[in-house]
Amino acid sequence: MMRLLYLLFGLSVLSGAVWADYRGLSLTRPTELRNVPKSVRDNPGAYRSLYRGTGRYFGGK
Amino acid sequence: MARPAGSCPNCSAPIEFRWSSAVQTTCPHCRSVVVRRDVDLEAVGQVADLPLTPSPIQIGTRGRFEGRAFTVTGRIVYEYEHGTWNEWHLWFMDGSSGWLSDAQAEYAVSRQVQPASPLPAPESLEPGRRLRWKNVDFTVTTLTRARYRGVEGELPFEYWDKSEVLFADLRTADGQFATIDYSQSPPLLFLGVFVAFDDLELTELRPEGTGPTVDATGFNCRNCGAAIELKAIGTATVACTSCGAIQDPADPAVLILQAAAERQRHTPKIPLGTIGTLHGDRYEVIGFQHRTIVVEDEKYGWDEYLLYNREQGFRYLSEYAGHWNDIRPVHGLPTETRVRGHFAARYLGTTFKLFQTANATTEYVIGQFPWRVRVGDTATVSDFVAPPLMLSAERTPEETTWSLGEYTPGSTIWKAFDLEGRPPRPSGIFANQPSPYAGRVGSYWGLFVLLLLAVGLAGMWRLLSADREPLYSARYSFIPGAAESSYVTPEFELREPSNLEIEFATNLSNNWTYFNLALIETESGRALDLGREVSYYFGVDSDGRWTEGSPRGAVMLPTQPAGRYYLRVEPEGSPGTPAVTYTLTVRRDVPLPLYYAIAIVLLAIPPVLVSLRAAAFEGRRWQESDYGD
Repeated sequence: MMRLLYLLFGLSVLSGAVWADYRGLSLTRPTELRNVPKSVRDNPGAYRSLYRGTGRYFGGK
Repeated sequence: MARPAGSCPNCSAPIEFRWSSAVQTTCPHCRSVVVRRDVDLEAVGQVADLPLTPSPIQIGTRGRFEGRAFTVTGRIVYEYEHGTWNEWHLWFMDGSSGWLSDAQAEYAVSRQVQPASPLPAPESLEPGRRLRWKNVDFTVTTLTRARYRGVEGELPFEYWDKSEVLFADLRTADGQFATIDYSQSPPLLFLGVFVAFDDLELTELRPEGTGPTVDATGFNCRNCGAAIELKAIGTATVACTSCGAIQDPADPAVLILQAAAERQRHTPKIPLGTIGTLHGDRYEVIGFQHRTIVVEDEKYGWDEYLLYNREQGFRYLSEYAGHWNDIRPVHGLPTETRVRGHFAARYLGTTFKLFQTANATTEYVIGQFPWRVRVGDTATVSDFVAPPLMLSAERTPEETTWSLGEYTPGSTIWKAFDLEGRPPRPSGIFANQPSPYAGRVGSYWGLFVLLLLAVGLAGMWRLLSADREPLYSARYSFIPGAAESSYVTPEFELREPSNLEIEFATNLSNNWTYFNLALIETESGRALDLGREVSYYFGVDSDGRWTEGSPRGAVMLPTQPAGRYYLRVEPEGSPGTPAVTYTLTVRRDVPLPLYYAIAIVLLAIPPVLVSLRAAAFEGRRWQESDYGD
């Protein structure tokens, strides 16, 4: 019985992996915005991104 | 076929020989031993009353051995320390003869053979010595001094005037046996095999319930007066079921071997006299003893029940803390060995690991035993385990006996003997208790391998079949700290729903860049806002060369609907650092091996857990062994 459950679990995990791969799932989910004005094409600087760089320094060990 | 041979020289009763080669027979009327000399018959002596034995075999019993039919024509009865045994003479239909040894329902068929070289003198024999006949190695197991008690029926030689006889018994690992009979000069050699009662296909047996099932010479306990009914099993020890006093049935009126009051009483969980069915045969509980061992100053005790079946012989049940074993003597001689530094014993192809060796002491006895049992008897007991089996060696200065136990649930015992209530709940883990994880570990890992294969195939299929189609690619550069670095890419078309990868291949050198990204669908104005930092540092320190990060970076977007898209990109960097040049590439249908790696980790969890639990179970089992802490 437990082995059958393991088999079912395994098949679920396998299906999940294939689905996640095919769908291109990412742990960092993008934020969706609606109705971005077409003027962004002409004035990219007017767009306010929700993400900003941290600007932190990684140099050194 | 019976052949008239004449009249008894002593009483004139007709004498007939069933077997034409018989040399000796006994007169059924006057019990004279009659020997055939040419055509004459001579009465050479008289046979005393034979001791009572419970054997179902009798003169005239028929059977088969190795495909050949035989008839029992005679027997010799011996008595030794552990009771009596019969050597039944077999007349095979091809005219040859053999012997069926019936020692307390342990059966072996043998034939006399002519050894190629003289047999060793008895003084040179000792248990453990190896001898070889017919390309088979035999090991001396016991030297038995037996008392000749009488003969019955037809024998192939004269045999009636014996007193004490010395036998050397030898065995092999696979159940062959040899006996050297030192009653003649030169001694006789018999080679044979142990056989199961059922394999002999015996017919015309002594009907059950007839003959000496119960010895008419039962007596009253010398200590308490309770009536003791002797089973005719060649009883050597009787412990009164009322008071526990141990008596010798040979002389119960004058001998109380040990007083009951000296001992603590133990109540058998299966009452003596209970009849049950084990392995399809009816067994009666006829004896009970409580034995103990002392390990690290702590006393551990267990109960042993002696079971008896007229045809199948003796077997035992042992119980310790609710754990039961169904035990039978073994015929073959196990081989003691070492497996990876661990003491072990091999028997019939199975390797048993040594679990524990301890000195067992008998502390309490009631019922009847076909061998001498006394309170205070000690033996060195070694238990070798291969769950659910346990091979045990009991060593005394005189002999080593082996038995094979099988772990049996208490419920099975209760059902077999139709006992009331429920069996005691087992506590702890017993030496040969089958692990609930036995077999599971292998099957779980087997399943894991299959699933791993499936994951591998699926991942491989994706790697090989993914399009990785570039939708847009261009080279850019920016100066960190510049007033305005944002820009938009030209539109590109996603012809079918697909995931997207946005990759940056930069010339970063001990620097970083953060890319603010927005994938914007031209028609709807829907935007997916995200960011990605790319950094790459390297250098040399006291440990040598080091690097951190990568000049390349990518970000994945889940499946997007078909349509036209463009990217708004806003790179950021530390002001004053060198200009960054990079290639931005957008691809569709890109495989993600990470998910297959995650799947493998998830799939490994159940077998790892089962393996850990199995190891913990075995750890608890062996904790109680000689190898425990």
